[in-house]
Amino acid sequence: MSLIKQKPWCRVVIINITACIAIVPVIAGQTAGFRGAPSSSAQIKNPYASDGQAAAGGKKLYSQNCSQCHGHNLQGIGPAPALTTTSVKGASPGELFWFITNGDLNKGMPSWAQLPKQQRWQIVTFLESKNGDK
Amino acid sequence: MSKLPPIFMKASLGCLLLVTSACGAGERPYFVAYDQTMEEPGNLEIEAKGLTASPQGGNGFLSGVTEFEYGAKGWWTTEFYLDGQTTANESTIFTGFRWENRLRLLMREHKINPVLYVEYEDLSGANKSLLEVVGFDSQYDALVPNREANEEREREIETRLILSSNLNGWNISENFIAEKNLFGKPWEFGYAVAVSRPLSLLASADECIFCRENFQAGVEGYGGLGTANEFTVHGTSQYVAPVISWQVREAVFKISPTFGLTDASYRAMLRFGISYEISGFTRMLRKAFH
Repeated sequence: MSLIKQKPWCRVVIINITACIAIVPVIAGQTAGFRGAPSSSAQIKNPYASDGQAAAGGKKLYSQNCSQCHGHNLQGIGPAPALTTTSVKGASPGELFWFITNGDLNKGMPSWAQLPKQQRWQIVTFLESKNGDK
Repeated sequence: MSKLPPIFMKASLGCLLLVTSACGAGERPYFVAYDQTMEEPGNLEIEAKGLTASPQGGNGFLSGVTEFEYGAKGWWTTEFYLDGQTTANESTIFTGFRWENRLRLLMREHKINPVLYVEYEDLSGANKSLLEVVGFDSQYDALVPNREANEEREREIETRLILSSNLNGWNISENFIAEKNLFGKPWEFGYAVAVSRPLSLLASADECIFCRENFQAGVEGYGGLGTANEFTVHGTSQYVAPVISWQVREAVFKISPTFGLTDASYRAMLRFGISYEISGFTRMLRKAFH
């Protein structure tokens, strides 16, 4: 205490460190979406929500592009996880879209940005139809 | 009755797995330019590409390249090429090999996605695949007979900075090429730019061969930019090429009539290719030979 009185700059340092420690969980909460998706992605709505035709197209796209790793029944194969887990079911459509777009290149999930965004949303619609619409 | 040797059975099983387990995934129709798409980890894509052209006053030729592209990581794709060509009234020859590596520099999608490309080329002077156009490459290079050109060995490092964007279904890609001969010749420069789009942005619900979403169309432009001693477009080859591809389940077919824009360019060329992607190749190999 006497050190803080003697050296006022110590008070500034302590306040700054305390503020940083307090801010970290706030920032982490803002970015800790499904698989690292930013919080803003949760606000994005699926333009094809509950659209049966879109889901059918998404089923075809899933079969062509995703099933070799995630299984024809979304059960997961090898290191690729099942897509019927609680975390996937709990993800918002926007977060799923973000993850399909960006992937996780370090963990073997490719980016699917080469598919038009409409097709990526079709895949999201298909996944939602399998896991129950949100 | 004699039994087939085990290695034959395993090889046959491996081939069967290859045929039944392939899938395609939004291949661009480009022949020269690259976009930011990497091969999916563990997948192997085999592609055969051809080019036919005829230099003014020379013999027509058909060059062929076989490519083996492997997804080593989500951010690293590696590819091995075998090149050859056949020239009318001359010979058919193997002209060398290449080893290419592409590295995603950023792990997330951005408005512009950079990819670093580094390739080692060990090719003879008779190589005519024109997978890139740099420096003062011209149609007149093909006038040298195969028996002379094939004696010359060119070992080079090709580097590219690939910049690629996806916007409203369109892909726009730019490649800046710098190539260095390892035996002292100056740096050679070139470029490739391309734009393409699927004919439909939505996938239809039906399984179909001629669905519009199975087709992609676009245009490529590429050419030389001179050397470190003379950075210029004068006296270089420049090309513009419409491109189109058609994905049919396991295979992608693509074709590109190409038009030369300068005196140094071939007046016209025709490129064509077919690729076949084998998903989970690494996993299948482990199962087949375990």
